[in-house]
Amino acid sequence: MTNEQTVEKPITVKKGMLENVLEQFNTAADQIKLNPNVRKILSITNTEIIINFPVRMDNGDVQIFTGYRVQHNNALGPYKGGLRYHPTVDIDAARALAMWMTWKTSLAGLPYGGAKGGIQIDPSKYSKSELERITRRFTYALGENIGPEHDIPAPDVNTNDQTMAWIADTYMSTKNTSERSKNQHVVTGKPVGSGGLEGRDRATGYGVFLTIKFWAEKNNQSLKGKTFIVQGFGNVGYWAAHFLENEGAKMIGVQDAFGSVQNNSGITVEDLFNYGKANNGSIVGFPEATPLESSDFFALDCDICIPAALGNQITKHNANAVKASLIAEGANGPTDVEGEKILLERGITIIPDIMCNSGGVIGSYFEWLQNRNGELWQMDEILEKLEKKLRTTFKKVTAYSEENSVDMRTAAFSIAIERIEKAYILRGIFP
Amino acid sequence: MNANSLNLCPKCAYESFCVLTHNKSLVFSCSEFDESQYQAPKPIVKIKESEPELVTI
Repeated sequence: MTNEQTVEKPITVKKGMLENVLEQFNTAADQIKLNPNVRKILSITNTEIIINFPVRMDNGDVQIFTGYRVQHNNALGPYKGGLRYHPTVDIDAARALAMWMTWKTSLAGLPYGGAKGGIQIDPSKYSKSELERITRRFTYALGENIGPEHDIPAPDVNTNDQTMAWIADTYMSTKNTSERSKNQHVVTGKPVGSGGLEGRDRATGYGVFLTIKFWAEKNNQSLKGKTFIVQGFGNVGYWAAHFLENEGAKMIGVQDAFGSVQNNSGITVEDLFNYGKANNGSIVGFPEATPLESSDFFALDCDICIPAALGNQITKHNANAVKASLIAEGANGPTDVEGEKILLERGITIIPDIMCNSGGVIGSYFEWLQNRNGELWQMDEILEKLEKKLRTTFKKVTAYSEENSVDMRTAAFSIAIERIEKAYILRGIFP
Repeated sequence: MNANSLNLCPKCAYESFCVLTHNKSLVFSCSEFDESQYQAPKPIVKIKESEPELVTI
């Protein structure tokens, strides 16, 4: 392959998320002067599967469902990515998210490619037994398009460990008796009692905490006494806050879907979590904090800001008000392009989502390895391995960022794409 | 991320009062997403059991 050939940048078919992911890809590809042939390959998905399959409902009727699986690239290993059950699932959504998974697994240094899929369905309309039959029939219909060494689904929106257990059981049931057990790692995110990983629930949040810790170490700072705010007090936000508090940092503000609370003297993470549990999941009214206007949340005076809920939160409208010197992106895409530009100009560091929230997919990799090798790992062992893996990634990203004078996000994308490029250059293109 | 075609908000139980974002047309991933209270009619294709399910020619 030669690097001198020129190639047109991929044309985006539909304005939307796919376009954004391709834009990020093109920016990084230009930065690293990506081989034009590899650019062609990575601009498009490898395989796209659309399956219409029938399922019998509880009342005896038959209903037809549409399921998708898009496999973007497998240069580094089996395809890996979530399965979501949602009415908005379509082929474009799956394409964009599959491509994003390719960069994420590559950056994390995992032997995986990227995939995504799901069923176009509103799960709240179906009983548990109907959802089980839908899941099992979809798994059967996918057949050999998934597999422990080929494509490994994981939980996503509206799917959980139970869904994964059904998929694993169905897939294993299609194999010869003697081969069933060795196919357990066809999915990750299984229940702990059924091949799942100890501590999978905290893997993403712990990863967010670790990247913050590495950043502090790199800047010769201690987390003790540092103040932080968290947007989204779900699995990611809660665990990140939990580990930060253990290191001596102080949580002074939290925002969830219901409202925001603040206390400059500190909010005890466990107390707020217990209050939320007893209050239908809402943190509003927490007695040891005062309510806060939601629009003022990102303007809270703190050292670290962790947006761990949803995308497009820090924009040109509020980026100038941000007081934190570090943004750790626990959610996917919480800082938009204009917001990021302002933050960087102001000298605020952003730990990009693709690295910051990669603890989850690294946890998935550990579960897969554990099943594949017939091992059972202890929690402390898992957290230690996760730290080692993330530390390597963090070092690579910061080194690239400094050497090439680019921000951490560009560095992360560049490293991810370079790793795939290298694989293609080494092995060539068949035939 | 400026825009995307998939959006979780319309099916989220918290859509009407969620304070996380005013821009409820762009959300492809959200830790607070909860569909449990959402109810809407919409079977995709339904075949009555009494009707023939397979037609052979």
